[in-house]
Amino acid sequence: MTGAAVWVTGVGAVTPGGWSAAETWASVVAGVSRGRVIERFDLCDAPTRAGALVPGRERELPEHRSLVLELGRVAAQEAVEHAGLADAGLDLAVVANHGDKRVPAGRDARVMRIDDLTAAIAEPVGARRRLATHGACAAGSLAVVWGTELIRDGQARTVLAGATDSALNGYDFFQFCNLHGMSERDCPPEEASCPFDRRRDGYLLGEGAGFLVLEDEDHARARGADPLAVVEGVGSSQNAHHFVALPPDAGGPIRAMRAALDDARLPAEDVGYVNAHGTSTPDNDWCETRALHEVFGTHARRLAVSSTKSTLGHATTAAGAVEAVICVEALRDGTAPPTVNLHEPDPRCDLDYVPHQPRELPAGRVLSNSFGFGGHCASLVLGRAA
Amino acid sequence: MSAGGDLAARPTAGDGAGLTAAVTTADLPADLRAAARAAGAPRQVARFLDGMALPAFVAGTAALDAAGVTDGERCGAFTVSGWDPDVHPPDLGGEPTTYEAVARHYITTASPMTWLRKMVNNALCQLALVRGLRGPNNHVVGGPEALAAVLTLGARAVATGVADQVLVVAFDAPAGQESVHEVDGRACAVVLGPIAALGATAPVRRDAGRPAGADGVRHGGRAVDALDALIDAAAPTVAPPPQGNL
Repeated sequence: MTGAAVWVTGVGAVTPGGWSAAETWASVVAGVSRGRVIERFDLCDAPTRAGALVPGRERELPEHRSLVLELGRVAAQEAVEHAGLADAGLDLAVVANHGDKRVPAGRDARVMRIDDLTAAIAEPVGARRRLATHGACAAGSLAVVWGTELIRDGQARTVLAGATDSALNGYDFFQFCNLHGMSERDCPPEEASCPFDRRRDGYLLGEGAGFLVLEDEDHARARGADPLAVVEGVGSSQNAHHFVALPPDAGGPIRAMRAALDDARLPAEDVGYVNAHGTSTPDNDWCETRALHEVFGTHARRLAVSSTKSTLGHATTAAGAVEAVICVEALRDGTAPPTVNLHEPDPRCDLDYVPHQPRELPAGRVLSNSFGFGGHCASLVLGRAA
Repeated sequence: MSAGGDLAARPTAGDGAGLTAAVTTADLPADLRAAARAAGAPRQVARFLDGMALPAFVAGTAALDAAGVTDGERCGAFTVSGWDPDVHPPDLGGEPTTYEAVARHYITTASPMTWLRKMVNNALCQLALVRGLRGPNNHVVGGPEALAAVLTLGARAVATGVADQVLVVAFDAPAGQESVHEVDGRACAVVLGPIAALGATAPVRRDAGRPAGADGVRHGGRAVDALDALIDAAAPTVAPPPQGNL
């Protein structure tokens, strides 16, 4: 085992906010929702009309290429170049995804398999080994958890960890309609995602990719690399309750956050900002609020908590990784991004959600939450680079 | 993890955890449905147990029983499989599966269960539901190298005190059928526990799960075969499944 810390030495992202981590960060800080009417495919009679799509790909999917792969490759390349490892390569790439599928209607029903997609992202950035993981909407965060643990265990010194996904295609989208988890409100598309608001009725489906280069501190120092942030704690847990619903006692999210804080050996009061899972579903937002109260006690009311899904939508498998990138940028910039569209707060959601405008990042660490279908829960504690 | 350069040997947390129980593919009974019911799967879980999740569920619950795990609060669960099913047209009762028909099907009449249970983390979810497994958890798509990473991380979770036990289940479709939507698979499982506390043996090596010896082809490159081989190698010292429980 290595006793050195795990640094973040590179980040990359492609989201509805833009084709880089910097563009993504600028977009969330500006507080402009990327929700729009979906024009990429025929919505038929779908009750949901809004989505958040990456710029330049709003109107069509490439015919025989994978958009999910394109997003992942761009974000991964950015992260590796940012880390200064484009020539050296990396020991390992942990890439979460759920493959890339299309409509099974006499055409190619599958574009890419999970492991093939992972390989196609890992190989161009010089990753010598790869892991293809799947933890649904917690997968991006879980990739960071596993990358961190494998570095601590001495299995790797440099890890590209993250995820890529797009469910905004004429197959996955209709399956999500089947669950009635997306917003079906009759409202402008940019208002569809309103986390912690009493009018919320579901998420704004998004897409994107996010990657962090995780690096053993000693290895980074030896090559003269500076940290962007430090991964101070990671935690994961299982709801063991239902395939898609959160448990009413918020047990899974509570355990994940406590595990991350225990791993960081930090008291809860050392966290100043929480990037919430904050999907804008009726259940998640109050459940996560309850969990925050349980974990942080009286300190919960001093936290700044925001949901960047209010601007970027929910990138499903990639969400946790994108939000980890956002947390790194928040630490670097000293800014807490806002929750937008929060005009009628739900009385059951009674914390400070940084409504409408960004503000100075509170002192202390940042914590990022992700919860996914299948009961997966993951939390990350990130600290400022010294 | 995919094949690549070997890491220099160094002590790992895996030295502190070992196999406390194991169930091989050969241990599973012919009537998996009955075994799942006997293992406590309620009807709403049984509906989710298709040809791939069913053997994984039976193997996993049997391994937990063999390890004496009755409280899953601090038990983790990792699953690994090369199975990654193709998209399959829904049954529209003879109606052509046009784009519009498929969309309408999912918007109006489909049961979410029919497609949720094809998510590759389905087996893990059902095991966690029934046995209350609330520790660290994740699913990995891949073969022996993925299994090696899973065993390493599971052992680390035990050795560092993050979990008291970790269940690891490998399940796969028959060779060449990794993309088949409806297929009957095979599964095996182990439980990792602390060596000191439980007297567990067969420490999990960092390369555990790789095909033993030079005849790796014999194992077919699947995680389920690699885990079977690991269990065989540790057989004299690992708790088998209780007789009559399978």
